[in-house]
Amino acid sequence: MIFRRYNTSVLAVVALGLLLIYYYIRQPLILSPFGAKILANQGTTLALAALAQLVVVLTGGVDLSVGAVVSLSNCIAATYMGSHPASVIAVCVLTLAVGAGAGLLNGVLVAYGRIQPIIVTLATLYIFSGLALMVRPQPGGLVPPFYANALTGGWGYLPYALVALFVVLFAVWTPLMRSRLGTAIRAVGDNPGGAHMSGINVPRTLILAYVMGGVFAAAAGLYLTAQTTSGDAAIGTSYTLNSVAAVVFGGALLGGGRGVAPGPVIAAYFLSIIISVLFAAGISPFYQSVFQGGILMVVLVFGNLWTLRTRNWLTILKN
Amino acid sequence: MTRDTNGTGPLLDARAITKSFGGVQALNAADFACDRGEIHALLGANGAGKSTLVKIFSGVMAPDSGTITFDGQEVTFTSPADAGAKGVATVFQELSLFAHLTVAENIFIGHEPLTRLGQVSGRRMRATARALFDRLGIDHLNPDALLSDLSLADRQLVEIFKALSRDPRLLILDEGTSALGRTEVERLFALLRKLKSGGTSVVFISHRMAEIREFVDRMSVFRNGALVGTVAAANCSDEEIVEMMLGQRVDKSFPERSPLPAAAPMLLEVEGMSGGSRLRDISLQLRGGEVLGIAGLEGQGQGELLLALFGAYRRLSGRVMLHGKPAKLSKPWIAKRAGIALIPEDRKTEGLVLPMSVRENISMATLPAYGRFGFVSLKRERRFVAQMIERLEIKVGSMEQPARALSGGNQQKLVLAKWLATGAEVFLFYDPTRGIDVGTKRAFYELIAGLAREGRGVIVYTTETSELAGLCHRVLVMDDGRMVRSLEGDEITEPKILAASFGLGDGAKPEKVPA
Repeated sequence: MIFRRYNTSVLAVVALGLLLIYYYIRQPLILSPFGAKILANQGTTLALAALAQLVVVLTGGVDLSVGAVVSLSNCIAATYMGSHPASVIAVCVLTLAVGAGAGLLNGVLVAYGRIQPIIVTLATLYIFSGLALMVRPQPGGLVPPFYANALTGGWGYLPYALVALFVVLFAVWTPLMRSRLGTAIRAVGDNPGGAHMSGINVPRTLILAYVMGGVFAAAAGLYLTAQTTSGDAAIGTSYTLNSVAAVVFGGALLGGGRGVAPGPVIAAYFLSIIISVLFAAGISPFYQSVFQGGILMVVLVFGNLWTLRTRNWLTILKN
Repeated sequence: MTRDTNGTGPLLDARAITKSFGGVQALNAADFACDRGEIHALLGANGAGKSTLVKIFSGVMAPDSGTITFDGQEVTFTSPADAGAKGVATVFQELSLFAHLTVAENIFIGHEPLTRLGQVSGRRMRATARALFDRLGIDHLNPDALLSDLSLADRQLVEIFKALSRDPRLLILDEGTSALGRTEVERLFALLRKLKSGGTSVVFISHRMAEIREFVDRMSVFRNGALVGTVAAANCSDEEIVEMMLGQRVDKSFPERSPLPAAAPMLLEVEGMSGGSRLRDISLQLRGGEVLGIAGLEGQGQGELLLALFGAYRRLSGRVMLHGKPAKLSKPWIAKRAGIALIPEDRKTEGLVLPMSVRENISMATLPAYGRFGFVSLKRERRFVAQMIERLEIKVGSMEQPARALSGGNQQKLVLAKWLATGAEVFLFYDPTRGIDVGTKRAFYELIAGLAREGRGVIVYTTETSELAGLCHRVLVMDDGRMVRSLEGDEITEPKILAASFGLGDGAKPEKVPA
């Protein structure tokens, strides 16, 4: 059944649910308009970065430059945004265009350079980080309050962050994935030779997937700018590996071909919120990373236990 | 339904097509012509150039030289997309499907029906898929099922539907029916005839001679990269065709069955095995030196039985005895250690590691044997691999060649070599000659008979009834996961095996399903 495709997201949903319940027991204040806003704001950047990573992972690749594009767009936005609404909008569009350009470079190198995606994006990771430093050698910049409010504020229990995320998911992501391009992206990741034999333009599909990834990564940078209200060339670094973790946690296959948006997005919130939960649980920041990694490992292993119930070992090894 | 055509000559006319890979000449000035509205079989031993020719027609590769005229115009097929746009659809030997997409998505990949907003219309896709299934009388395929959940036979159906969905002018089936059961093949050909009367031409490659003879109009035989001749299917005998293919007369007989010694030791006993996806209360016995055949209609649990004996399933009930001692075959490596070998259904994914060399593939299951202090002695490994290559007459340029580069028959020999190396006592063959040319098939029959002569036990499941009749000492017939009949001695004939498979009375001639 087609809904089975969404089964891969169940693990992330359950994990986030349990995490929030535990958080609420520890800190009942999170169940308030303010708490909802904090929770939503915390994960939205990584959620967008996870979408950027997911579209590339679906093609069977991996994008190590996601974090660098987040930094670069953060620096461009915070540096050139100004305070007039018109200039803010113009700079936002420019930033997304820069993201698209970054993705285009990745895509062209992967599709026509015949280089492994991991190597291509490692190289461009350095390039984009360098560009971010050129734009903004020192942290700082100017972000108008109305911009920050529009993305991090809230209306009662409804944080604007979630509104923004849902707009991206339903007005951009879903239509793209339900177009022929979306099927082609999954087909290329699933069986590139078969995709070629089926008359799919594989290089074009790859390039468009990386461009999409670049745009989503730039969107993550724009959101981060609203959150931190400043630009910092090093701020995006952690988003590369965290986005990969969110994508895997969210049930996508690193080999490509399988993955739906809800899983990685929800996993992104889990991975972002868990830091505060560990803090609320009184765990020393020194041990935070160990706990973070440990919890991620336990959840993933637990989530995969069901596959071991399968009767045929061959089906396990093939997945 | 008739089509606009340019002129009345052949739909496809290829002249003097030449193609070489490295030093190997795959096609050498090959000619081929296919008329409008005919079913045309391409025959030839493996390596005769059929698949290369088909790949050129479907835009996968370009010829080194030669001309192709399609519908009266000289063309070049620059890519699969280009060939598709010109009206050529191909069902490839290597399935070109997507495991994580649904059946409908696989069928319409690249030309999905769209809504007005440019979105893929799931509703129309499902409806069109169902309409296609109806044309072939297939009612068990669910358009929303994920491809990874389908059997190999069903995947092949999907591959065929995928080609049909493009409403092609020329439909090419490259070994497109090797996993299909008899009924499905007959339904397919009924549909192909319908297409043909609408003006579509069909080019068909298959190693199942019987299948070809009945349904096609003309046959073109290839040998060593060139056309030997094109004949009308109606007035040409099997022997003549084989002679054209091989360039010499070969008799179709199977190797002499070695008599089963009365005191042959019991190798394997199974009692009341149930489980897996559909095995129910299976009991069987295998003696040393015996070739035991598993028959029945397609998909009655034969494959599951072999996998179960090889330890691929967990939680099986029942008892297994090896050499008279109870054995628990719960994992493949345990089965391997117990002396069981499986030549699996899909040699490309389950039998071999295609990018690895011939040497590495052969020695894979027995690496420790060439070792010294935990390191592999390349010298001993090479010596051993060379022996195997000679013993099984595997045609390789060098043992460092990747397995991918070998023909289907030689790949299958690699799988067998790997398991021979383990010194296994019980050999399980899962449709061992699927997609293999006649000459190599005979070599395989010899090998199977040879294993039995050496006192090993062999269990063979094959979709070709003639192989069961020609090779086995005993044939067990499966139906819906159960053993329903055991045939021995004089009962082992093609008609009787078929009759038992169809659940018909003793020795009755099987009713042919009307096409």
